[in-house]
Parts: sequence; C-alpha cells; structure tokens
Amino acid sequence: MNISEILDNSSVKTVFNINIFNINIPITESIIMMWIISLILIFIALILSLKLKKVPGKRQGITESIIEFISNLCEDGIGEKGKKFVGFIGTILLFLVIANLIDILNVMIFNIDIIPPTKDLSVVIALSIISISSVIYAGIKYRKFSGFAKSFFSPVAIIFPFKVLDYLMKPVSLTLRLFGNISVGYLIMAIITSLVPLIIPSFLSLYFDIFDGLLQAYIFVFLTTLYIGEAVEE
Amino acid sequence: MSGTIALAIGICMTSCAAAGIGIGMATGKAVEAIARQPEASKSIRSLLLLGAVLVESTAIYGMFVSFLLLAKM
Repeated sequence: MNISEILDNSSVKTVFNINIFNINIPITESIIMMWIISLILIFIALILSLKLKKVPGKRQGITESIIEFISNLCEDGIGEKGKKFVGFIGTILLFLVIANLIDILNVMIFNIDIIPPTKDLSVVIALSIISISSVIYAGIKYRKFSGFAKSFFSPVAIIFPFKVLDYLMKPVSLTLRLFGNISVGYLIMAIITSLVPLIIPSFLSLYFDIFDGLLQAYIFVFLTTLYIGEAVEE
Repeated sequence: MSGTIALAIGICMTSCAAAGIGIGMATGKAVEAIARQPEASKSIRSLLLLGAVLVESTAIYGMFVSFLLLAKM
C-alpha cells in the first residue's frame, strides 16, 4: 500500500484534463468543488452588498456583523496593525466555512457524492503555504528585512535552528490539523451512515459536520492571526 | 509482522487519550476561572482555545505516525 494513497484517501478523482503547450493539467473533483464554492461566495457577497444605506436594514445588519466579527478577530490576534489583514483573513475564513460545511448537502441530494475540498490534502497544503508565506511577508514588511532576520537570533544566537524549525513545523501542523479533523469526520460519518442509515446520523452530523467544521475553520484563521502578530510585533 | 504493526498503531493511539486528559484539565481550569471572574471570560476563552489547539496537535502527530505505520502494513 502506498502512503500517498492513504493520505489522499484515494477518492480524489480526476474529472477531465486540460492540455496547454503539451503540459497536462488534471482537473480534480476538489477543484470543481472550489469553483462552486467561489460561485456561492460571489453570489452571497453580491446579495449582501447591494444598495448599502447609511441607516442599516436587516440585510445590511448581517453584512456589518460578519465584517465586525472578522475585524475583531484580527485586532485581537494581531494588534493595532490588524486592520490591514482583514481582507486576507476574512477571505480564508469565509472560504473555509463554506468548504467545511458543504458536505451537509450530501444528506439532501442522494445521488451525488459531494466531498469537502478540505478533505483533499493538496488543497490544505496550499492553504497553509499561503498562510505561512503571508506571515513571513508581514514580518518583512513591518520590521524591515534586517529586523525580521534579527528576530531569528533574538534572545541568544544559539536559538537560530529552533526558530527555523518552528517556521517549518507551523505549516505542517496547520495542514495536519485541518486535514485530519475534516477527513476523519467525513470517514466516521460515512461508516455510521453505512451501519445505521436512519435518525442517528442526523444527530452525529451536528457534531462531526457542522460544529467541527466551523471550529476548525475558526482555529485555522485564529492561529494564522497569532503567527502574524508574533512576526509583526517589535 | 503485520500483527506487530497493528499493535504499534494501537499504542500510537494512546496519544489520543493523553490529548483528551489534557483538554479536560484545561477546560476544567478555564471553567473555574470564568466562574471566579466572569468579566475576564473573553481573554480566558481565547487562551483556552490556544491551549486546546496545542494539546490537540499531539493527538494529530500520533495519527500521522499511525498513517505512516499503516503504509508499511
């Protein structure tokens, strides 16, 4: 048995291929799911941001509470420079929330098997690489390159290899946390629905799909804000 | 050979028990702290979340090692 087979759960199928200049680009199920999620997010954003007024109504209240939640999250984690990161953090949070919750639709639509894209290891690796490179970018931007490089030797010079190891392990643990939680939750739900197809899965789905998905999306961006705050502070 | 590996995977899963004990202790202390000082609940909650996440990562490393062992089976 191959290790990549287990980690991919061997269920990420290639739907079709695109050929550009003799380079074969496989389009997998999770990429198509991410296109659908982007369409859903664009649609929601268009509905929520239509005709904004000075005195908010019901619809604008929802929009403002979402944005306030994200900016509070950024300011708690990063500090006074948090306002600059609201766009980035908000994008990742909203994407992860929809991506983790989309397999609820499995209950309603029986013929199509919807997989959450965060169950694909390569999607999660890409997200955590984006996150860690934004941490490094923020460190270099706000402390200059010399200040950021000095932070690797900050209390004593001997700490340097541990700091490098720290920056290498951060994306690994982010990846394994999100991927492990989502794929194990999906696996447990699949096992339970094959054993007891009635009633019991609906209660367990509240925990494994909704609560766990929302919590993991929140934890991913929470840790990203903490890492950015650590890199930015003087 | 595969029986030994299966036993090793079982031993790896004790990391889940350790993480469970750790999260339980952290949550218990957090509840005590909030009961004593309800106005500090916001900062306690974010600290609790951070601690729980760090504790949970040990269980995830255990899961990763057991995946690696499963590939050898």
